[in-house]
Amino acid sequence: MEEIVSSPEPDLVLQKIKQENEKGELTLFFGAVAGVGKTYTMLKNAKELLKSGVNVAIGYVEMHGRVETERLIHGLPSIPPKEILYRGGTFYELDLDAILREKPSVVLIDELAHSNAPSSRHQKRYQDVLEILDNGIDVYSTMNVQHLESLNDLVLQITGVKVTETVPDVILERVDKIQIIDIPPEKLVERLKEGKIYKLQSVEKALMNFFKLGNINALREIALKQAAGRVGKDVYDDYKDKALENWNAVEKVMVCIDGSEFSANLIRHAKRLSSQMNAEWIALNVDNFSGDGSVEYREKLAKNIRLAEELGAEVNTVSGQDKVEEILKHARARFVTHIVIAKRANSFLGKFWRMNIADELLNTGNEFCIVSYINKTKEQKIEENLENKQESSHFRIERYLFGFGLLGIITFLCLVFREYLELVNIALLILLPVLIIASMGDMKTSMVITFVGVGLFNFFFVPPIYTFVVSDISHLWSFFIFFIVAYIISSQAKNLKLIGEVIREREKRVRRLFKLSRRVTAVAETKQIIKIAMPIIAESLGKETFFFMKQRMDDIPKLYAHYDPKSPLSSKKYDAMFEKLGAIFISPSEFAVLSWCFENGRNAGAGTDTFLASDMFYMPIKSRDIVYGIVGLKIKEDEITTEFKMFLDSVTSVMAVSLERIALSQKNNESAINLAREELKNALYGSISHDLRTPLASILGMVSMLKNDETWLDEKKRTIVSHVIFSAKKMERLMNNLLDSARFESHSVVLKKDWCDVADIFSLAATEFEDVLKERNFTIAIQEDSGIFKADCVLIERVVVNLLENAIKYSKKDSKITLGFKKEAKRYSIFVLNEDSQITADDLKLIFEKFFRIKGISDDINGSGLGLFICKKIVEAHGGNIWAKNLENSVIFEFNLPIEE
Amino acid sequence: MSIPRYKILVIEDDKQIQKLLEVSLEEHQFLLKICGNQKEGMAQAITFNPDLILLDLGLPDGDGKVFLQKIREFSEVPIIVVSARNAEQEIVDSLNLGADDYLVKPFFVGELIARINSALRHFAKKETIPQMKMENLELDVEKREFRLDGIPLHLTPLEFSLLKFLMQNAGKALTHAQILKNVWGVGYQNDTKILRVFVNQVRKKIETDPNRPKILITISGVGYRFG
Repeated sequence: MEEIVSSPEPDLVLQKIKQENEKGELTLFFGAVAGVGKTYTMLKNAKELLKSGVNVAIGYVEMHGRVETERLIHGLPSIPPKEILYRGGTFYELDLDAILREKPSVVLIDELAHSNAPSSRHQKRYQDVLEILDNGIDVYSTMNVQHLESLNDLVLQITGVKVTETVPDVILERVDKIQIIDIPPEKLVERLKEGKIYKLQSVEKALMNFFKLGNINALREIALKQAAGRVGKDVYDDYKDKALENWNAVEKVMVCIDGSEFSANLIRHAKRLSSQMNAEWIALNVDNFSGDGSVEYREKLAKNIRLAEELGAEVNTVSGQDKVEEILKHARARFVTHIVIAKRANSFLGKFWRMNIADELLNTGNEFCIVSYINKTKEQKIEENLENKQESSHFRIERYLFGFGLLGIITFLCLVFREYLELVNIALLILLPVLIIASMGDMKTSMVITFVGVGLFNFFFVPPIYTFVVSDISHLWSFFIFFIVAYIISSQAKNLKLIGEVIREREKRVRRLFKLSRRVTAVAETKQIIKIAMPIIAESLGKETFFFMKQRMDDIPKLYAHYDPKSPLSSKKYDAMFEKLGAIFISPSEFAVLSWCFENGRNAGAGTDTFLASDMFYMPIKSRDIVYGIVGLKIKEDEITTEFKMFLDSVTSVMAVSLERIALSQKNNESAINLAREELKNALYGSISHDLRTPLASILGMVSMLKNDETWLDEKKRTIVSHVIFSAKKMERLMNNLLDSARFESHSVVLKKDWCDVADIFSLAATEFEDVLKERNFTIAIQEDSGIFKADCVLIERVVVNLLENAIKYSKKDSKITLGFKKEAKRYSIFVLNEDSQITADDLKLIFEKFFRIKGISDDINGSGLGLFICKKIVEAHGGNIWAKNLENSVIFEFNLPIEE
Repeated sequence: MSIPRYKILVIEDDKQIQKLLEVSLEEHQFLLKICGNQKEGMAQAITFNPDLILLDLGLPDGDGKVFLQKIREFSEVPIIVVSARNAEQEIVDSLNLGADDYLVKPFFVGELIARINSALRHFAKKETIPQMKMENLELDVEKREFRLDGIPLHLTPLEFSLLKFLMQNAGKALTHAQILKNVWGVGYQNDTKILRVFVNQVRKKIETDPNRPKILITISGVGYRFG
């Protein structure tokens, strides 16, 4: 039998490593109820860490006046909490910025579920913790089981206490290490009575509500189950790492949600189900235009979607008439195994009228496991005519007038032409206004018109005429049919009208976006994009809109454009966007929000969970993790709807793509310009060095001819020629130094690394000063067999030549000069040592600066002051260091280079 | 006119350098033809039939290396290139393209004459001679041995090949790539580390002071010259 050994899923392993590398570790001390000793254990652990030399700091620890805890805190370094004044009260909150600044290795933060005081950066403490973790700091924290979001209603059922401070379940999944703190419930109650958990005054109340033996036991059970699930997941992850599990067999739960109250419960059920199964889960909302266009419904839907997202689900919305079909289609596309759905407790009539979606799903005989929860709660029927009421004042009177007028005319005509018309024809004619009014989708009006119509028909045309008496029973049937027709048509028309409205609204949005993207793609300037996009955002949403940008990445964000849809329309309105920005005051706290938004690339401000005290809502324009700018809208929290966010999302994504395109093309241009500039510079250096050297070459050449031929000049004149040669040579060196330093400064030097032999370099340098070195005690000291290294040989030779030249210049006759090379652990080091000359401390500091010169021993030493500057540049380009220092009776110049293979 | 005078073609655009070369070379009994650009130079290379060409790389009508390439298609004439400092790569390229030697501006006349003579000598005895002697170093190709002051040297086969190749090209500037290709073979052109190591070893056997070599001389950034 063949054994197949597959490698662990590489992505998963990589992902793990990545997470482990970059982010801090979250250790959670998890308990069933308060008082089990979570904080105590956490502090004890911290103390041990501190003892072993880890940099631990207290970020925030809740004392509750517990003596044991206070004793433990003693000796632990702490980052003092921030004082926040709010509505007369003083709150102490975790000082997030201080923690990020001080960067301890581990920070202790109590009560993960705590809600921060308003005007804090984040609404919840766990968000602070996440930011700390993102900055690579490990966190120790504590939490009780009842604070877990998905267990919220369960805890409510058990204890009767509604827990408001909750933590999303994803946080528990983010936890790297979990430690369960558990003590027997009897002992807990005892501790409580002894006042070890809360101060005595509050004991009674707490006992009453929460600390019943039964409650504690139930909570313990849940806590242990949760933790077991977590541990189980770790083990499972481990298996996945080891490729022992068939990855494809993993199950996936999909929950179908809508805007009902019960959906929230359903979402929590699904979350629990999926975590018990260790499965992924997603949520689906099918929008089938079925009369749920009310504001309330939409808000509830948005809330449910948010809840699902908070609990870690990916939420999708699809549109389609047939809910069942859409659900199945989506489930198949996403490889779902379990579908969670609500089953309405049917009323007797409902059974016939409309089948339940849950039943329908079951009846299709699909491959999924359908989990249905029965919704026993009575939905408060969202009043459909809410909308109608609003518009009624406007249109209803007109409709009535129109309906009655039409009925009147038709009745009058029928009376005139009575002899020519059958009763059936008259009935159909009178039905006409009913149909017209019903087709407007207004149920109430059409019913009234129907009633009046039936009345008129009966009074004028049904025998006995001019009475409301009906002699023939069959006529009653026709009245009944009248009502049915009116009802069906008006309800259908109403649906159609709603669908039409939704479609129109969407179409409008799409058209706006299309317009935006079409206009924006042709634009090659940031300003133009803003000019097009800003009015679209501002006018569509009717809000004052701001646009912020950074000039450079490390800059602070600046207001770039401002557009107020309410300002008077003029031909220059669009241009005015960029003008008079200085007159707009934006408070420093808003800038803090902006900076955060830039750094984190997430929405912030009003209506979000970050800096919610801000006056504005900020949305970053982001593409591939680069924030190009931020759109700010002056808006109140309750005005931010899903629709609004969706629209803004689409507009900003179009903007982001365009801004990215512009940034890329700019970068392209810049690099092309740089390249051209570089080429020009190189050509310039080349031609300067050629053009300067050529005349020098002819001077030197010709003068040397004069000197060499003894027949041409006498001894005295030959000395003069020697001086000419000396000066010309000096000029050449100066020119070389100037050109080189210019080249190094413009960074146009590319190292040509090759293998160099230090013996070669030393001998070449020595050859250059052959004559002078005869007058010095010159030695070369090379460590045996280690003289080959990788570097730009020509440049390193220049460094050695310059250092040697200096040593010669600043030394007397017959003094000792040593050129040395040694190999150290990770570096090669080359040094020039010369006797009998010291450099003052002040000079040592400046010696490698450009144009710095020390007055030499003999008067004719006057270099360009560039030699050592060039040396430094060359060594630094190699990633090495160069320095000079005084030794006893001598000076050493030394540089080292990293060893390369 | 008993002694044959060598003909030298100078391709150089700078008037002063032209004058310098004219004066100094004629003084050393060379027959001279001077042109200021490549086009003219190419015509003279064919009609004048020089024994040696002195080529400036920075010419008004384009890169001297192109000229070098063209002339090597039909002629083996020794070529010395004249170039500016800081242009090691240009020198290496020229040598690899077939130039025999190079000079860096500014140069002294003495150096120039020495290079010219060396190149002419080397060209004259191109065919390999079984016995060669340079100062106190002797090569005996038939016996496959080198003798220093008459005493045979202990050389590994590769050291022998290296030294033999260098000696046979004595006086000529050789690039790293040229040596590696000829001694180690095609495919080793860029293995300068091995070359450095071997040169180091050979120097210890033939030089009186390996830290101050006199026979096997390093040309900074270019390669080696023997003798």
